[in-house]
Amino acid sequence: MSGFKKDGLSVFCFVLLLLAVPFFLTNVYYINTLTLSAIHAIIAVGLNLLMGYAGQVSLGHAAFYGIAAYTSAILTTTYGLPIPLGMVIGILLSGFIAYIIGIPTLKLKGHYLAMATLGFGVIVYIFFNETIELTGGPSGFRGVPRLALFGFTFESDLSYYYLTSLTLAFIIVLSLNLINSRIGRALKAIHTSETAAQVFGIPIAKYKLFVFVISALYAGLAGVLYVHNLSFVAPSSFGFNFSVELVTMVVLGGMARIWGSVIGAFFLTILPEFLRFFENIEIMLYGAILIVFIIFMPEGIAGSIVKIFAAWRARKSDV
Amino acid sequence: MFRGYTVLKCEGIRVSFGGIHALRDVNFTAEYGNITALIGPNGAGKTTLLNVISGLISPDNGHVYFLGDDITDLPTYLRGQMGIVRTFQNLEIFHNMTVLENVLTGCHRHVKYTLLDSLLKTPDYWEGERFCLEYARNALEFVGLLDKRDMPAQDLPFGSQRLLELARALVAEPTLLLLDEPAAGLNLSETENLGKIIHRIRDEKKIPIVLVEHDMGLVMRLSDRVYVLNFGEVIAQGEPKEVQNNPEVIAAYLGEEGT
Repeated sequence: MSGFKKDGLSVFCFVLLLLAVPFFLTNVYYINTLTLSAIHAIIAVGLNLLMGYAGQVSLGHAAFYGIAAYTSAILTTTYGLPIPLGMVIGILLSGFIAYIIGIPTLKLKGHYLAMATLGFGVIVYIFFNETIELTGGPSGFRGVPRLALFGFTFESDLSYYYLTSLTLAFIIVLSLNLINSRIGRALKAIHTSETAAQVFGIPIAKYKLFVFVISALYAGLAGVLYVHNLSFVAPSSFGFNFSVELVTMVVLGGMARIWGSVIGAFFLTILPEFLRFFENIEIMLYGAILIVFIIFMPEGIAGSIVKIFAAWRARKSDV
Repeated sequence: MFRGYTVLKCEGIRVSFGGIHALRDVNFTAEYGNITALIGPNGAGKTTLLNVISGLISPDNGHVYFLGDDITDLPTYLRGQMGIVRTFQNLEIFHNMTVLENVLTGCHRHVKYTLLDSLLKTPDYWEGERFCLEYARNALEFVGLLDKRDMPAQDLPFGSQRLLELARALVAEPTLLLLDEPAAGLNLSETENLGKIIHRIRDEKKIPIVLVEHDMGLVMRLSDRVYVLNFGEVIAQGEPKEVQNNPEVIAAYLGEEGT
């Protein structure tokens, strides 16, 4: 099947690119930025499954990211659990909380769902700040052990970069497979017509809850990768601003395009690093760039690339 | 197959919205091998009855039986899985998909491979997808849209979107097909083509059909049995010819003399 081969080829090229980058970028700071980009991309891909495909907006995904990060940090540091176990519990807890939250909130539509998830995100943020004995409060939680798996400690930043980029590639493959199945089609159907979806035998409540939990699990995975890299977490990383930034990554990259979310996440994570150079007007430039992109690429970066490519191919076949 | 065997039976269906009685004690049956038409002036409750049958509205009173089972309390998606499939008066095309993907979605109830199968692309996944693809191609060919399969569904002209809805419903291999004004907005030649397709659905695919339609010519040509609704009540039923000459029906359509 051509679609399958195309997906396989693009993932293969992406992995090659990620593996090759460190040979050109030797600066550790750049590598760390790319690691963070890959972590953000994992959340954005999950959020896209929820938002771009199934059409359910969430303004609280930073919370799932944070819950998993804090859970793994506390379990491994305060309680001395093995790191892999702490990570798994963290990820599952994010998924479980999404399940509990999702049952009532996913009955809401559109702006109401956005408001409910926003509220949830704010509650979790306050929880991180106020439970000082557990989380260390606003000043953060220190001394989280660095990731060690099967006796190998990911001590160097480069090894961690490879770990996160391969994890991202794996997540992309899973997501593409999911989308190209009856489940992916059911999600897209729910986005445009819940009535028609039901008529064709799709239990919409179950599917919405399913994709909400999946996206929370992705965010949880990103959270544990984040915390065992940095060895430090603070509530400020998981606030409302970050939830909005995640939505921006999905929209800017291109809704309902897996690769779009990857592009959006890398773009929005790397862009501020370039803008540092402008110091005082950094944030203004950042805003201006976002506005220009959204005006001229309403279908996102990936959507525009596909369009340009299609137009180019059409012109070539005309000649 | 079992021509005349009752597929669907509605008994004493009553629906009211606020103070308005949309349906009052409606009895309705549809049989194998038949096209059962449901006609009546605007606001007579035709679409409401269709919504009750597909489970989008639950009746205040009465029962719906499908193949002898009481399905009155079943949610829409379970009825869909049982094979009660419909099209919509105001198109409900999945406009974020291509034509082919729309039809593949209609196949949902026939493929049962799991989440794990899709994530890992197991042989079960490939078998399910091949099955869907073959069915979808057949359905698209049946309505004559096969050459448009890779177009975004929203780029299709209106008439073709109606046919796409029909193909999406056919691929589900319904046990009962509900058509809600399939000819609304179509021109003469499109309507004629649609009529032929609906006939072929009955004769070749042996699918019983409930047809809600305003185009009287089409209804009289197609249907085996006609129910006439007026203000939520069945005022006449029978073969098209009988109904056509029923004075009460004529009054309902043209207005009673002296009023």
